[in-house]
Amino acid sequence: MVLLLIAIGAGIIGALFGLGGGIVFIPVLTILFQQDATTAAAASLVGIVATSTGSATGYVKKGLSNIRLGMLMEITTTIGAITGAIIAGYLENWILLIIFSMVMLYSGFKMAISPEKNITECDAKGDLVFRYSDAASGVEDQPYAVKNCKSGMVLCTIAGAVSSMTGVGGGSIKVPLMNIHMNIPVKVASATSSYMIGITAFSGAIIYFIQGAISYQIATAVAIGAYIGAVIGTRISAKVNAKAIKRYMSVVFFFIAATMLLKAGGYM
Amino acid sequence: MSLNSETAWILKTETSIGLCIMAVGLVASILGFGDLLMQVGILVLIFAPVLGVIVSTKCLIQEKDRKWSCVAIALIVILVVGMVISYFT
Repeated sequence: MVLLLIAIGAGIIGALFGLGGGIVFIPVLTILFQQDATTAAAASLVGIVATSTGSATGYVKKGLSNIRLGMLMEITTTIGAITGAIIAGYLENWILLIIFSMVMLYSGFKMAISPEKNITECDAKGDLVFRYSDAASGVEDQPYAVKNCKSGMVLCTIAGAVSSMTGVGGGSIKVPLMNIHMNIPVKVASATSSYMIGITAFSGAIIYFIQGAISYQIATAVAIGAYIGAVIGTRISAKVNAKAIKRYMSVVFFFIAATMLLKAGGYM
Repeated sequence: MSLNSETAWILKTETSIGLCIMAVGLVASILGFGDLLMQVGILVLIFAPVLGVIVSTKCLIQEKDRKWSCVAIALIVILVVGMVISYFT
């Protein structure tokens, strides 16, 4: 019951800040519930599938998620995720905790500075030119040309490996990668990332499922709570000042990263 | 239905079914027989994104979008190969 309530909180935070929720599930499961990193990652990935597919449904229906581009980038992301999940099975708990701490520090840093590239100009030529509309921001049939696709796909391999090794969705890596490096509008990048995260999480989760590493009760509580939280978070996101909360959240992330490093070092 | 609406529908349906089975399993676990239900629910849930890709592939083939159909099929092949590798690792 406690885990269910925490998962709802994680789902709300995930929906508010465009994260999969894994960044909250992992510290909660490892520090509060004393689970090892592998069990935590496995449960977290199941929760991420629930939140990702739940939130991606709306984005896909509106056409904000670029399904074609998402599937292209998922080819290398999935290869990374499969490799990461297999490697994770052979790594010591403390190594996984250190990798997670690094992801946490990176996410906290990214949240504090919120880098965002505004895509306004496009020559509307080439193989990878797409269009999108977003009624909320008054954008209608805006073309955008995807750049650096090959290097973006290579970097997605790393995002996939980190995701399955640590149990995070990888949205904190994919969104800036697509927006800043590949010239994709941030709204499309965020929506496409939501769609992709589910597929990446599947690749990791199915391996943990086959290995029997998933604790059913923990994964169920996390998935149901995260889904409810994501629904609540999506509804309240328009009413709260997420930018102001982001700065405070980054401090919380740095604190969690430090706690995880202490746990990795055997001090907790 | 279009690529987007069909994909969105299957994602929503599969996720809802998976979560419902898991919820019933969680309640049943109090009575001592929920493990199998939770296992099935987790499996249904985690396969939702893959079903989304399969439905997208079907739509792209119907739209005769050859280039993106090939990309979608390549992704399905990699997902299947990944499952096979993990099963034997």
